[in-house]
Amino acid sequence: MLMAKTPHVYISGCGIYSPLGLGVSHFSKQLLEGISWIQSLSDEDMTKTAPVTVAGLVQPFQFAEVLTRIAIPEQYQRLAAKLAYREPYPIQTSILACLEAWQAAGFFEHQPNREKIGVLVAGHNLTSTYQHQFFDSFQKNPEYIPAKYALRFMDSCILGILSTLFNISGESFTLGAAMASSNIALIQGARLIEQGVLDACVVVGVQAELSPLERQAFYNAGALMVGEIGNDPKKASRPFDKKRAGFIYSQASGCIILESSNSCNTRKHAAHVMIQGKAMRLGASPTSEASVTEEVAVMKQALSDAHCHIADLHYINAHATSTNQGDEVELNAIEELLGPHSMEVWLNATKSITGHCLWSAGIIETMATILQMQEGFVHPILNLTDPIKTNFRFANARESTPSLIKYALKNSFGFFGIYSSLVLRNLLV
Amino acid sequence: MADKQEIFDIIKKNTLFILPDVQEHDIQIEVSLKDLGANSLDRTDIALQSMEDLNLKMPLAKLGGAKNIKDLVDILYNELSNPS
Repeated sequence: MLMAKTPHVYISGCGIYSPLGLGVSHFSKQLLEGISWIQSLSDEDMTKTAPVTVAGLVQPFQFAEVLTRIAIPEQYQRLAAKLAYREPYPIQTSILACLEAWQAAGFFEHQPNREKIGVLVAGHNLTSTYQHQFFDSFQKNPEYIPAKYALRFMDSCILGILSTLFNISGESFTLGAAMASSNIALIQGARLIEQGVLDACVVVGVQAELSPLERQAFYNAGALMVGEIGNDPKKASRPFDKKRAGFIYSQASGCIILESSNSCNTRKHAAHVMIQGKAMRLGASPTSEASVTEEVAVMKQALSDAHCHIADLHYINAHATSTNQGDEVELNAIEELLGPHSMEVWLNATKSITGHCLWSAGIIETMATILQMQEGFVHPILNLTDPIKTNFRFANARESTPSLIKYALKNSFGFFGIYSSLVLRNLLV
Repeated sequence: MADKQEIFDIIKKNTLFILPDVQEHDIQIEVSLKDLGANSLDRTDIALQSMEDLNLKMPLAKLGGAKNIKDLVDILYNELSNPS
Protein backbone atom coordinates (compact mmCIF):
# COMPACT_ATOMS: atom_id res chain seq x y z
CA MET A 1 0.00 0.00 0.00
CA LEU A 2 1.22 3.47 -0.80
CA MET A 3 1.79 5.58 2.29
CA ALA A 4 0.27 9.04 2.08
CA LYS A 5 2.95 11.72 2.23
CA THR A 6 3.12 13.36 5.66
CA PRO A 7 1.71 16.88 5.28
CA HIS A 8 3.67 19.95 6.31
CA VAL A 9 2.32 22.02 9.17
CA TYR A 10 1.65 25.60 8.10
CA ILE A 11 0.75 28.63 10.20
CA SER A 12 -2.61 29.79 8.82
CA GLY A 13 -3.52 32.60 11.18
CA CYS A 14 -2.65 34.33 14.44
CA GLY A 15 -4.58 36.33 17.01
CA ILE A 16 -3.68 38.04 20.27
CA TYR A 17 -5.23 39.96 23.17
CA SER A 18 -2.53 41.60 25.28
CA PRO A 19 -2.25 44.33 27.96
CA LEU A 20 -2.17 46.75 25.02
CA GLY A 21 -5.36 45.30 23.53
CA LEU A 22 -6.44 43.29 20.54
CA GLY A 23 -4.60 42.63 17.35
CA VAL A 24 -1.60 41.02 15.72
CA SER A 25 -0.77 44.14 13.70
CA HIS A 26 -0.50 46.15 16.93
CA PHE A 27 1.68 43.44 18.46
CA SER A 28 3.95 43.52 15.43
CA LYS A 29 4.34 47.29 15.80
CA GLN A 30 5.08 46.91 19.54
CA LEU A 31 7.85 44.43 18.71
CA LEU A 32 9.25 46.58 15.93
CA GLU A 33 9.33 49.67 18.12
CA GLY A 34 10.18 47.92 21.39
CA ILE A 35 7.03 49.09 23.21
CA SER A 36 6.88 47.34 26.57
CA TRP A 37 3.74 45.78 28.03
CA ILE A 38 4.92 46.33 31.59
CA GLN A 39 3.12 48.96 33.66
CA SER A 40 2.97 50.14 37.27
CA LEU A 41 0.18 48.38 39.13
CA SER A 42 -2.85 50.25 40.41
CA ASP A 43 -3.66 49.93 44.11
CA GLU A 44 -6.49 47.64 43.09
CA ASP A 45 -4.11 45.29 41.25
CA MET A 46 -1.55 45.02 44.03
CA THR A 47 -1.67 42.05 46.32
CA LYS A 48 -1.99 42.87 50.01
CA THR A 49 1.47 41.67 50.94
CA ALA A 50 3.87 40.89 48.07
CA PRO A 51 5.88 44.08 47.33
CA VAL A 52 5.54 43.69 43.56
CA THR A 53 4.59 46.96 41.88
CA VAL A 54 4.82 46.25 38.14
CA ALA A 55 3.27 43.69 35.78
CA GLY A 56 1.81 43.38 32.30
CA LEU A 57 -1.86 42.95 33.13
CA VAL A 58 -4.76 42.91 30.71
CA GLN A 59 -6.74 46.06 31.53
CA PRO A 60 -10.47 45.92 32.28
CA PHE A 61 -12.50 45.98 29.06
CA GLN A 62 -16.02 45.51 27.73
CA PHE A 63 -16.18 42.21 25.85
CA ALA A 64 -19.19 43.14 23.72
CA GLU A 65 -17.56 46.41 22.69
CA VAL A 66 -14.26 44.76 21.66
CA LEU A 67 -16.20 42.15 19.65
CA THR A 68 -17.62 44.89 17.45
CA ARG A 69 -14.09 45.96 16.52
CA ILE A 70 -13.17 42.65 14.84
CA ALA A 71 -14.18 42.21 11.23
CA ILE A 72 -16.19 39.03 11.73
CA PRO A 73 -19.66 37.92 10.59
CA GLU A 74 -22.43 39.25 12.78
CA GLN A 75 -23.68 35.80 13.86
CA TYR A 76 -20.26 35.04 15.38
CA GLN A 77 -20.31 38.34 17.23
CA ARG A 78 -23.72 37.51 18.65
CA LEU A 79 -22.81 33.94 19.57
CA ALA A 80 -19.52 34.98 21.20
CA ALA A 81 -21.32 37.66 23.22
CA LYS A 82 -23.91 35.14 24.35
CA LEU A 83 -21.36 32.44 25.23
CA ALA A 84 -19.00 34.62 27.19
CA TYR A 85 -21.02 37.52 28.54
CA ARG A 86 -19.58 38.22 32.03
CA GLU A 87 -17.19 35.25 31.86
CA PRO A 88 -13.73 35.64 33.44
CA TYR A 89 -11.20 37.58 31.34
CA PRO A 90 -9.08 34.51 30.41
CA ILE A 91 -12.15 33.07 28.63
CA GLN A 92 -13.01 36.34 26.91
CA THR A 93 -9.46 37.12 25.74
CA SER A 94 -9.07 33.54 24.46
CA ILE A 95 -12.22 33.95 22.38
CA LEU A 96 -11.03 37.30 21.00
CA ALA A 97 -7.60 35.89 20.06
CA CYS A 98 -9.23 32.85 18.40
CA LEU A 99 -11.71 34.98 16.44
CA GLU A 100 -8.87 37.12 15.11
CA ALA A 101 -6.86 34.02 14.12
CA TRP A 102 -9.94 32.38 12.53
CA GLN A 103 -10.47 35.53 10.50
CA ALA A 104 -6.77 35.74 9.51
CA ALA A 105 -6.85 32.08 8.42
CA GLY A 106 -9.78 32.88 6.12
CA PHE A 107 -11.94 30.28 7.87
CA PHE A 108 -15.03 32.50 7.90
CA GLU A 109 -15.07 32.25 4.10
CA HIS A 110 -13.69 28.75 3.61
CA GLN A 111 -12.92 26.43 6.48
CA PRO A 112 -11.75 22.81 6.43
CA ASN A 113 -14.23 20.06 7.32
CA ARG A 114 -15.50 20.73 10.86
CA GLU A 115 -14.86 17.06 11.75
CA LYS A 116 -11.15 17.65 11.13
CA ILE A 117 -10.68 20.90 13.06
CA GLY A 118 -9.64 20.58 16.69
CA VAL A 119 -8.82 22.99 19.50
CA LEU A 120 -5.96 22.67 21.99
CA VAL A 121 -6.35 24.84 25.07
CA ALA A 122 -2.89 25.42 26.53
CA GLY A 123 -2.30 26.13 30.20
CA HIS A 124 -3.76 25.11 33.51
CA ASN A 125 -5.43 26.69 36.57
CA LEU A 126 -7.07 28.96 34.04
CA THR A 127 -9.84 30.29 36.25
CA SER A 128 -8.00 30.60 39.56
CA THR A 129 -8.97 34.26 40.08
CA TYR A 130 -12.60 33.32 39.42
CA GLN A 131 -12.27 30.60 42.07
CA HIS A 132 -10.48 32.89 44.50
CA GLN A 133 -13.31 35.43 44.47
CA PHE A 134 -15.60 32.86 46.10
CA PHE A 135 -13.27 31.97 48.99
CA ASP A 136 -14.67 34.58 51.40
CA SER A 137 -18.32 34.07 50.55
CA PHE A 138 -17.90 30.29 50.81
CA GLN A 139 -16.49 30.65 54.33
CA LYS A 140 -19.54 32.69 55.33
CA ASN A 141 -22.36 31.10 53.32
CA PRO A 142 -21.41 27.95 51.42
CA GLU A 143 -25.09 27.52 50.45
CA TYR A 144 -24.95 30.36 47.93
CA ILE A 145 -22.01 29.22 45.76
CA PRO A 146 -23.36 29.41 42.20
CA ALA A 147 -24.13 26.10 40.54
CA LYS A 148 -22.26 27.38 37.48
CA TYR A 149 -19.03 27.22 39.49
CA ALA A 150 -19.16 23.47 38.84
CA LEU A 151 -18.67 24.23 35.14
CA ARG A 152 -16.21 27.09 35.47
CA PHE A 153 -13.54 25.69 37.79
CA MET A 154 -12.55 23.21 35.08
CA ASP A 155 -10.09 24.39 32.42
CA SER A 156 -11.94 22.32 29.83
CA CYS A 157 -14.83 24.83 29.94
CA ILE A 158 -12.81 26.90 27.44
CA LEU A 159 -12.68 23.92 25.09
CA GLY A 160 -16.48 23.65 25.29
CA ILE A 161 -17.00 27.35 24.65
CA LEU A 162 -14.58 27.57 21.69
CA SER A 163 -15.84 24.41 20.00
CA THR A 164 -19.41 25.71 20.32
CA LEU A 165 -18.45 29.10 18.89
CA PHE A 166 -16.71 27.57 15.85
CA ASN A 167 -18.95 24.49 15.62
CA ILE A 168 -16.02 22.07 15.35
CA SER A 169 -15.80 18.38 16.24
CA GLY A 170 -12.19 17.27 15.77
CA GLU A 171 -9.93 15.74 18.43
CA SER A 172 -9.33 18.34 21.14
CA PHE A 173 -8.09 18.67 24.70
CA THR A 174 -6.52 20.97 27.28
CA LEU A 175 -2.79 20.68 27.69
CA GLY A 176 -0.86 21.64 30.80
CA ALA A 177 2.92 21.74 30.98
CA ALA A 178 3.73 24.68 33.28
CA MET A 179 5.31 27.63 31.46
CA ALA A 180 5.96 25.48 28.38
CA SER A 181 2.25 24.67 27.97
CA SER A 182 1.57 26.52 24.76
CA ASN A 183 4.79 25.58 22.95
CA ILE A 184 4.00 21.96 23.70
CA ALA A 185 0.41 22.47 22.53
CA LEU A 186 1.85 23.68 19.21
CA ILE A 187 3.95 20.50 19.08
CA GLN A 188 0.95 18.27 19.79
CA GLY A 189 -1.24 20.18 17.34
CA ALA A 190 1.43 19.72 14.67
CA ARG A 191 1.56 15.97 15.40
CA LEU A 192 -2.22 15.62 15.06
CA ILE A 193 -1.99 17.27 11.64
CA GLU A 194 0.99 15.18 10.54
CA GLN A 195 -0.86 12.02 11.60
CA GLY A 196 -3.87 13.06 9.54
CA VAL A 197 -6.11 13.19 12.61
CA LEU A 198 -6.79 16.89 11.99
CA ASP A 199 -6.60 19.19 8.97
CA ALA A 200 -6.46 22.26 11.18
CA CYS A 201 -5.80 22.88 14.85
CA VAL A 202 -6.73 26.00 16.79
CA VAL A 203 -4.02 26.27 19.44
CA VAL A 204 -4.82 28.82 22.12
CA GLY A 205 -2.50 29.88 24.92
CA VAL A 206 -4.77 31.19 27.64
CA GLN A 207 -4.04 34.36 29.63
CA ALA A 208 -2.59 33.37 33.02
CA GLU A 209 -4.70 34.96 35.73
CA LEU A 210 -2.94 34.30 39.00
CA SER A 211 -4.91 34.92 42.16
CA PRO A 212 -3.25 36.96 44.95
CA LEU A 213 -2.44 33.64 46.60
CA GLU A 214 -0.36 32.39 43.64
CA ARG A 215 1.31 35.78 43.20
CA GLN A 216 2.35 35.75 46.84
CA ALA A 217 3.73 32.22 46.47
CA PHE A 218 5.78 33.17 43.38
CA TYR A 219 7.11 36.15 45.35
CA ASN A 220 7.96 34.01 48.38
CA ALA A 221 9.70 31.57 46.04
CA GLY A 222 11.96 34.43 44.91
CA ALA A 223 10.81 34.10 41.30
CA LEU A 224 9.44 37.64 40.79
CA MET A 225 11.53 40.71 40.01
CA VAL A 226 11.47 43.22 42.89
CA GLY A 227 13.72 45.98 44.24
CA GLU A 228 14.55 49.41 42.83
CA ILE A 229 14.86 48.34 39.19
CA GLY A 230 11.98 45.92 39.68
CA ASN A 231 9.73 48.85 40.56
CA ASP A 232 10.50 50.66 37.31
CA PRO A 233 8.17 49.30 34.62
CA LYS A 234 10.55 50.41 31.86
CA LYS A 235 13.55 48.59 33.32
CA ALA A 236 12.14 45.64 35.25
CA SER A 237 12.10 42.91 32.60
CA ARG A 238 15.73 42.36 31.60
CA PRO A 239 16.52 38.90 30.27
CA PHE A 240 20.23 38.04 30.02
CA ASP A 241 21.24 41.24 31.83
CA LYS A 242 23.42 41.11 34.95
CA LYS A 243 20.89 43.16 36.93
CA ARG A 244 17.99 40.77 36.29
CA ALA A 245 16.52 39.21 39.44
CA GLY A 246 13.22 37.58 38.53
CA PHE A 247 10.40 37.50 36.02
CA ILE A 248 7.64 40.06 35.47
CA TYR A 249 4.18 38.53 35.52
CA SER A 250 2.20 39.31 32.38
CA GLN A 251 -1.07 38.35 30.76
CA ALA A 252 -2.06 37.70 27.18
CA SER A 253 -4.10 35.18 25.27
CA GLY A 254 -2.71 34.11 21.92
CA CYS A 255 -4.00 31.85 19.18
CA ILE A 256 -2.09 30.20 16.35
CA ILE A 257 -4.04 28.15 13.83
CA LEU A 258 -2.01 25.27 12.41
CA GLU A 259 -3.14 23.73 9.13
CA SER A 260 -1.94 20.93 6.92
CA SER A 261 -0.18 22.00 3.72
CA ASN A 262 -2.76 19.96 1.75
CA SER A 263 -5.65 21.86 3.30
CA CYS A 264 -3.93 25.23 2.76
CA ASN A 265 -3.25 24.34 -0.88
CA THR A 266 -6.84 23.19 -1.45
CA ARG A 267 -8.15 26.47 -0.02
CA LYS A 268 -5.45 28.45 -1.84
CA HIS A 269 -4.52 30.07 1.47
CA ALA A 270 -1.00 31.52 1.41
CA ALA A 271 1.06 30.57 4.46
CA HIS A 272 4.38 32.30 5.19
CA VAL A 273 5.79 30.16 7.98
CA MET A 274 5.74 26.45 8.81
CA ILE A 275 6.73 24.32 11.77
CA GLN A 276 9.66 22.37 10.40
CA GLY A 277 10.90 20.67 13.57
CA LYS A 278 9.86 20.07 17.14
CA ALA A 279 10.99 18.37 20.30
CA MET A 280 9.88 17.95 23.86
CA ARG A 281 11.72 16.13 26.59
CA LEU A 282 11.73 15.78 30.36
CA GLY A 283 14.66 16.37 32.67
CA ALA A 284 13.02 14.11 35.26
CA SER A 285 12.91 16.84 37.92
CA PRO A 286 10.37 17.59 40.66
CA THR A 287 11.60 21.20 41.03
CA SER A 288 12.03 24.44 39.06
CA GLU A 289 15.76 23.87 38.45
CA ALA A 290 16.95 24.16 34.84
CA SER A 291 19.55 21.87 33.24
CA VAL A 292 22.13 22.80 30.59
CA THR A 293 22.31 19.18 29.42
CA GLU A 294 18.57 18.90 28.86
CA GLU A 295 18.31 22.28 27.14
CA VAL A 296 21.12 21.40 24.74
CA ALA A 297 19.47 18.04 24.11
CA VAL A 298 16.02 19.43 23.32
CA MET A 299 17.37 22.11 20.96
CA LYS A 300 19.47 19.48 19.14
CA GLN A 301 16.46 17.17 18.87
CA ALA A 302 14.32 19.91 17.35
CA LEU A 303 17.02 20.92 14.86
CA SER A 304 17.60 17.30 13.92
CA ASP A 305 13.84 16.77 13.47
CA ALA A 306 13.88 19.79 11.14
CA HIS A 307 16.99 18.57 9.25
CA CYS A 308 18.39 22.00 10.01
CA HIS A 309 22.14 22.43 10.56
CA ILE A 310 23.48 25.00 13.00
CA ALA A 311 25.09 26.81 10.05
CA ASP A 312 21.59 27.32 8.55
CA LEU A 313 20.03 28.68 11.74
CA HIS A 314 19.50 32.46 11.72
CA TYR A 315 17.67 33.23 14.91
CA ILE A 316 16.92 31.90 18.38
CA ASN A 317 13.97 33.16 20.42
CA ALA A 318 15.05 32.14 23.90
CA HIS A 319 12.86 31.18 26.83
CA ALA A 320 14.78 33.92 28.72
CA THR A 321 12.55 34.79 31.65
CA SER A 322 14.86 37.32 33.37
CA THR A 323 15.45 35.00 36.33
CA ASN A 324 18.92 34.51 37.77
CA GLN A 325 19.42 30.81 37.26
CA GLY A 326 17.21 30.24 34.19
CA ASP A 327 18.89 32.81 31.95
CA GLU A 328 22.38 31.72 32.86
CA VAL A 329 21.63 28.05 32.24
CA GLU A 330 20.03 28.84 28.87
CA LEU A 331 22.99 30.98 27.74
CA ASN A 332 25.36 28.16 28.66
CA ALA A 333 23.19 25.71 26.73
CA ILE A 334 23.00 27.97 23.65
CA GLU A 335 26.76 28.52 23.80
CA GLU A 336 27.29 24.76 23.80
CA LEU A 337 24.77 24.25 20.99
CA LEU A 338 26.15 26.94 18.69
CA GLY A 339 29.86 26.37 19.37
CA PRO A 340 31.85 28.41 16.84
CA HIS A 341 28.62 29.87 15.36
CA SER A 342 27.60 31.76 18.51
CA MET A 343 28.31 35.19 16.99
CA GLU A 344 26.37 34.39 13.80
CA VAL A 345 22.91 33.49 15.10
CA TRP A 346 20.58 36.25 16.34
CA LEU A 347 19.66 35.72 19.98
CA ASN A 348 16.47 37.37 21.13
CA ALA A 349 14.25 37.51 24.24
CA THR A 350 10.63 38.57 23.69
CA LYS A 351 9.95 38.65 27.46
CA SER A 352 12.01 41.86 27.65
CA ILE A 353 9.02 43.48 25.90
CA THR A 354 6.11 41.36 27.07
CA GLY A 355 7.13 40.07 30.50
CA HIS A 356 6.38 36.42 31.30
CA CYS A 357 2.94 35.27 30.17
CA LEU A 358 3.42 31.85 31.84
CA TRP A 359 1.07 29.36 30.12
CA SER A 360 0.68 31.49 27.00
CA ALA A 361 4.34 32.60 26.82
CA GLY A 362 5.22 29.95 24.24
CA ILE A 363 2.49 30.97 21.83
CA ILE A 364 3.00 34.73 22.28
CA GLU A 365 6.73 34.34 21.63
CA THR A 366 6.27 31.92 18.73
CA MET A 367 3.92 34.52 17.26
CA ALA A 368 6.59 37.18 17.85
CA THR A 369 9.06 34.98 15.97
CA ILE A 370 6.60 34.42 13.09
CA LEU A 371 5.99 38.18 12.81
CA GLN A 372 9.72 38.93 12.71
CA MET A 373 10.15 36.29 9.98
CA GLN A 374 7.27 37.73 7.96
CA GLU A 375 8.26 41.37 8.38
CA GLY A 376 12.04 40.86 8.21
CA PHE A 377 13.31 42.32 11.47
CA VAL A 378 14.78 41.32 14.82
CA HIS A 379 13.07 43.11 17.69
CA PRO A 380 15.16 44.70 20.47
CA ILE A 381 15.99 42.98 23.77
CA LEU A 382 15.01 45.86 26.02
CA ASN A 383 17.27 46.59 29.00
CA LEU A 384 20.15 44.40 27.89
CA THR A 385 22.83 46.86 28.92
CA ASP A 386 25.27 44.51 30.61
CA PRO A 387 24.91 40.91 29.34
CA ILE A 388 25.88 37.96 31.55
CA LYS A 389 28.09 36.78 28.68
CA THR A 390 29.09 38.71 25.57
CA ASN A 391 30.00 36.05 23.01
CA PHE A 392 26.55 36.10 21.37
CA ARG A 393 24.84 38.03 18.61
CA PHE A 394 22.27 39.60 20.94
CA ALA A 395 19.51 41.67 19.42
CA ASN A 396 20.06 45.41 19.81
CA ALA A 397 18.96 46.73 23.23
CA ARG A 398 17.11 49.77 21.86
CA GLU A 399 15.86 49.27 18.34
CA SER A 400 14.93 46.66 15.80
CA THR A 401 17.38 45.48 13.19
CA PRO A 402 16.24 44.60 9.65
CA SER A 403 17.08 40.97 8.97
CA LEU A 404 15.93 38.05 6.87
CA ILE A 405 15.24 35.00 8.99
CA LYS A 406 14.87 31.67 7.21
CA TYR A 407 15.18 29.25 10.12
CA ALA A 408 14.30 30.17 13.71
CA LEU A 409 14.47 28.14 16.91
CA LYS A 410 11.97 28.86 19.68
CA ASN A 411 12.64 27.59 23.20
CA SER A 412 10.03 27.22 25.90
CA PHE A 413 10.83 25.62 29.23
CA GLY A 414 8.74 24.91 32.30
CA PHE A 415 9.03 23.95 35.93
CA PHE A 416 9.32 20.23 36.62
CA GLY A 417 11.98 19.55 34.01
CA ILE A 418 9.79 20.32 31.00
CA TYR A 419 11.75 21.34 27.90
CA SER A 420 10.55 22.12 24.40
CA SER A 421 11.89 23.64 21.18
CA LEU A 422 10.30 24.44 17.84
CA VAL A 423 12.04 25.08 14.53
CA LEU A 424 10.15 27.51 12.28
CA ARG A 425 10.88 27.94 8.60
CA ASN A 426 10.15 31.00 6.53
CA LEU A 427 8.50 29.84 3.29
CA LEU A 428 9.17 33.16 1.55
CA VAL A 429 12.97 33.14 1.89
CA MET B 1 -40.25 40.57 55.53
CA ALA B 2 -40.33 40.86 51.76
CA ASP B 3 -43.76 40.69 50.11
CA LYS B 4 -44.47 38.78 46.91
CA GLN B 5 -43.93 41.81 44.66
CA GLU B 6 -40.50 42.40 46.18
CA ILE B 7 -39.59 38.74 45.72
CA PHE B 8 -40.72 38.89 42.08
CA ASP B 9 -38.58 42.01 41.53
CA ILE B 10 -35.54 40.25 43.02
CA ILE B 11 -36.08 37.23 40.75
CA LYS B 12 -36.50 39.56 37.77
CA LYS B 13 -33.23 41.36 38.57
CA ASN B 14 -31.33 38.08 38.90
CA THR B 15 -32.88 36.65 35.73
CA LEU B 16 -31.69 39.68 33.79
CA PHE B 17 -28.20 39.24 35.28
CA ILE B 18 -27.91 35.55 34.48
CA LEU B 19 -29.73 35.63 31.11
CA PRO B 20 -28.35 38.71 29.30
CA ASP B 21 -30.47 38.03 26.20
CA VAL B 22 -33.79 38.34 28.03
CA GLN B 23 -35.77 41.58 27.81
CA GLU B 24 -37.23 42.94 31.05
CA HIS B 25 -40.79 43.06 29.69
CA ASP B 26 -40.64 39.33 28.88
CA ILE B 27 -40.28 38.48 32.56
CA GLN B 28 -43.93 38.06 33.59
CA ILE B 29 -45.20 36.26 36.69
CA GLU B 30 -46.83 33.37 34.75
CA VAL B 31 -43.76 32.77 32.52
CA SER B 32 -41.36 29.90 33.24
CA LEU B 33 -37.62 30.50 33.46
CA LYS B 34 -37.18 27.59 31.08
CA ASP B 35 -39.24 29.41 28.44
CA LEU B 36 -36.98 32.43 28.89
CA GLY B 37 -34.03 30.22 27.88
CA ALA B 38 -32.67 29.25 31.30
CA ASN B 39 -31.03 25.82 31.55
CA SER B 40 -31.13 23.91 34.82
CA LEU B 41 -27.94 25.53 36.16
CA ASP B 42 -29.21 28.99 35.21
CA ARG B 43 -32.48 28.29 37.06
CA THR B 44 -30.61 27.12 40.14
CA ASP B 45 -28.38 30.19 40.09
CA ILE B 46 -31.33 32.57 39.71
CA ALA B 47 -32.90 30.90 42.75
CA LEU B 48 -29.64 30.84 44.75
CA GLN B 49 -28.92 34.50 44.07
CA SER B 50 -32.50 35.39 45.05
CA MET B 51 -32.19 33.37 48.26
CA GLU B 52 -28.97 35.20 49.10
CA ASP B 53 -30.65 38.57 48.42
CA LEU B 54 -33.46 37.52 50.76
CA ASN B 55 -31.00 36.17 53.33
CA LEU B 56 -32.86 32.88 53.09
CA LYS B 57 -31.39 29.40 53.47
CA MET B 58 -33.44 26.39 52.46
CA PRO B 59 -32.94 22.97 50.86
CA LEU B 60 -32.69 23.31 47.05
CA ALA B 61 -34.89 20.23 46.70
CA LYS B 62 -37.87 22.38 47.73
CA LEU B 63 -37.54 24.39 44.51
CA GLY B 64 -38.06 21.32 42.35
CA GLY B 65 -41.83 21.74 41.96
CA ALA B 66 -41.70 25.28 40.57
CA LYS B 67 -43.29 25.37 37.10
CA ASN B 68 -43.08 29.11 36.56
CA ILE B 69 -41.89 32.30 38.23
CA LYS B 70 -45.11 32.52 40.25
CA ASP B 71 -44.37 29.11 41.84
CA LEU B 72 -40.84 30.22 42.66
CA VAL B 73 -42.14 33.44 44.27
CA ASP B 74 -44.63 31.40 46.34
CA ILE B 75 -42.01 28.87 47.46
CA LEU B 76 -39.60 31.60 48.57
CA TYR B 77 -42.42 33.57 50.21
CA ASN B 78 -43.69 30.52 52.14
CA GLU B 79 -40.17 29.66 53.24
CA LEU B 80 -39.65 33.21 54.51
CA SER B 81 -42.96 32.99 56.42
CA ASN B 82 -42.35 29.50 57.83
CA PRO B 83 -38.62 28.66 57.76
CA SER B 84 -37.98 24.91 57.51
